[in-house]
Amino acid sequence: MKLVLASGSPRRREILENLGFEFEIITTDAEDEIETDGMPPDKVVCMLAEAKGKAVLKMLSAEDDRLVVAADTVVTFDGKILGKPKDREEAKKMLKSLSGRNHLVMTGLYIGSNGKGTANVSAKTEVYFKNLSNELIEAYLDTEEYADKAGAYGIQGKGAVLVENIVGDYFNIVGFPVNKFYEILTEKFGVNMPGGGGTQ
Amino acid sequence: MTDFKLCVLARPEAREVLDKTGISYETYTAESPFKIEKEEDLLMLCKKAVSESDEKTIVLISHTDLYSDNEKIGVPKNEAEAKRMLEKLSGKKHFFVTRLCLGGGGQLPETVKAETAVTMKPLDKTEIDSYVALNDYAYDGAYSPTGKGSFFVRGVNGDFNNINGMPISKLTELLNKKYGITLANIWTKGCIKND
Repeated sequence: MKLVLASGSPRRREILENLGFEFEIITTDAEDEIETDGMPPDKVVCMLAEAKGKAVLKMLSAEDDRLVVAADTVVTFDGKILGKPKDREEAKKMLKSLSGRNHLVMTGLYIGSNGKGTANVSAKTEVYFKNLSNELIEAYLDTEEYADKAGAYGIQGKGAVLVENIVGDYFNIVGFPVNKFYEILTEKFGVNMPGGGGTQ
Repeated sequence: MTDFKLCVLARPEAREVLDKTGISYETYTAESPFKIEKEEDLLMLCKKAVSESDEKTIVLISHTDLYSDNEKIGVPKNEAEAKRMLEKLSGKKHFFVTRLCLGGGGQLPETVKAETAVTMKPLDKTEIDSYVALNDYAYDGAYSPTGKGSFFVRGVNGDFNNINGMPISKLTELLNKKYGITLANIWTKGCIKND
């Protein structure tokens, strides 16, 4: 089973590779034109994933029936979206607000293809942060891992030490809801293949 | 802050968690085969490793068991057993229980336990058969919840890294409590050095 991944995220690429899929990466800047002000986070991630996916689907020829997969991930706290921090100061504020509390990581997933229909859903995972001392926050900021991460931490790297507990799909936090993806592939697209593309 | 060495006996996936969180270590190789079935085995092994090391070496041993319905689930011996295990785990919650033992560096060995629950989606026969055909079942419970088997994982409750045998949250707490080592010391001052 060959896919088209409409995302430039190295973390999503790695997850799909580990699952055994073969895929091509095509990226656009379609999501930049989407207006999402004031919308609930689950709606926002679905819209952004759909915009990325549809833009790539349009670029495929009519005979190309590969599934286009797109995703968008945000960190939400108190109902608000935390994006990528602009600078160290903002990253520090984010980590301080997340300290000792729980937040939600939401990913919107879009799967579409010529002739086989589309799916657009969101998945959420709860993350419980430890109580972070100022010393730990500063040490983490020094690693500069926060720079390109929504919510100012990366759970797949050194940021793992900030997390006490998660409830839900781990890979959703990293940026790709593996279980939802598999559920849609099997239920909607009739693909039954725990080995990704490997056995098909 | 004293400088320490960290000597680790754990499976490769567990050591990878240390790599990605920036904790340096050296790998401990036991001279003779060993079996860890209970906490005392872990303590014995840790004491032995400590006795072979210098006073600046902290020894860390990790051991993980998988439990379903209060029963320990091991590694399947063949395809047929792998299929039976997956049928048993299908649609239910099971638990990864890791025991860490930390000792040496002037301190007596101490163990901590971390438990992470994994809920598996209900699997049908085709899914089980095609998963087993991938030949990726040499794990406790016959699947890899963090690898190709992640398709089957509906949800996790606990420290995710514990599934791979390294509850990183518990480890950093214990390093701090026992030795006063903080992550700031590790990341920026390099107080754990292995050369």
